[in-house]
Amino acid sequence: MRFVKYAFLFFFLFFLAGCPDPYQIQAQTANSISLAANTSLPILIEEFKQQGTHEINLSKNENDAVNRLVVIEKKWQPVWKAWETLRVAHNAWASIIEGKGDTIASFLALKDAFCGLMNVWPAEIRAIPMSGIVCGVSK
Amino acid sequence: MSVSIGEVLDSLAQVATAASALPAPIGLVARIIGAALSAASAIAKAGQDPVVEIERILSADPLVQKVHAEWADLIAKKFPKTDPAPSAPQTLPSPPPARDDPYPDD
Repeated sequence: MRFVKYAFLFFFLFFLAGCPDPYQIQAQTANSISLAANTSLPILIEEFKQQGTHEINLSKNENDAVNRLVVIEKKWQPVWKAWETLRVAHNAWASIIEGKGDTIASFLALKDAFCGLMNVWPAEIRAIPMSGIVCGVSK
Repeated sequence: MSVSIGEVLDSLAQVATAASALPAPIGLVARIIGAALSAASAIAKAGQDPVVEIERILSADPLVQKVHAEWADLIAKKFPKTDPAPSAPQTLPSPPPARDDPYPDD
């Protein structure tokens, strides 16, 4: 009987030791989000570039080209703004995880920032889901 | 031989990247698939090892500025600026000719 008790205690402690640290789970989630985001950034940039290049190719003179590019810039400005918001929110969240602080508020800020980016995500590019963050009703 | 899911996804992403060079719309579809596979691969890798330092999201600003510069180059190549018609050279008025010293030493 004593053997069983010690065995149970041993396996319980072994299980606790094997349990992932809650900060480690968040660190892995935060890392997954940044890896996915950084993977999608060149795709966004390429699409932005291609749209501008296409407009330049269609233009008849320099002024026409500039005016066409202004339209492209206006279309993409919300994307870059939302990207920067996401970057800042993720940075804040990651810093709090690394410092083992209270991460709830910073995670909610990150979720808002991510959903903000999804709301302005260009229709030409399929959105890449990031680590199960589910946004509410968009737009 | 064990092959991780990350390696498989990486290989698929490489195939998709190669296919993205094909003409649109195949290229565009392949590019989107490639992005999704790369992201999935990154997530799979991130879940394997304990994270010591969290990777930060990159700023888009430098890349956007680079695109602006490339567009400016493209416009300059497509619509090269012609030199203005040559006009009479504008030169500063020359100083009056040197006169003989009005107060010569005696």
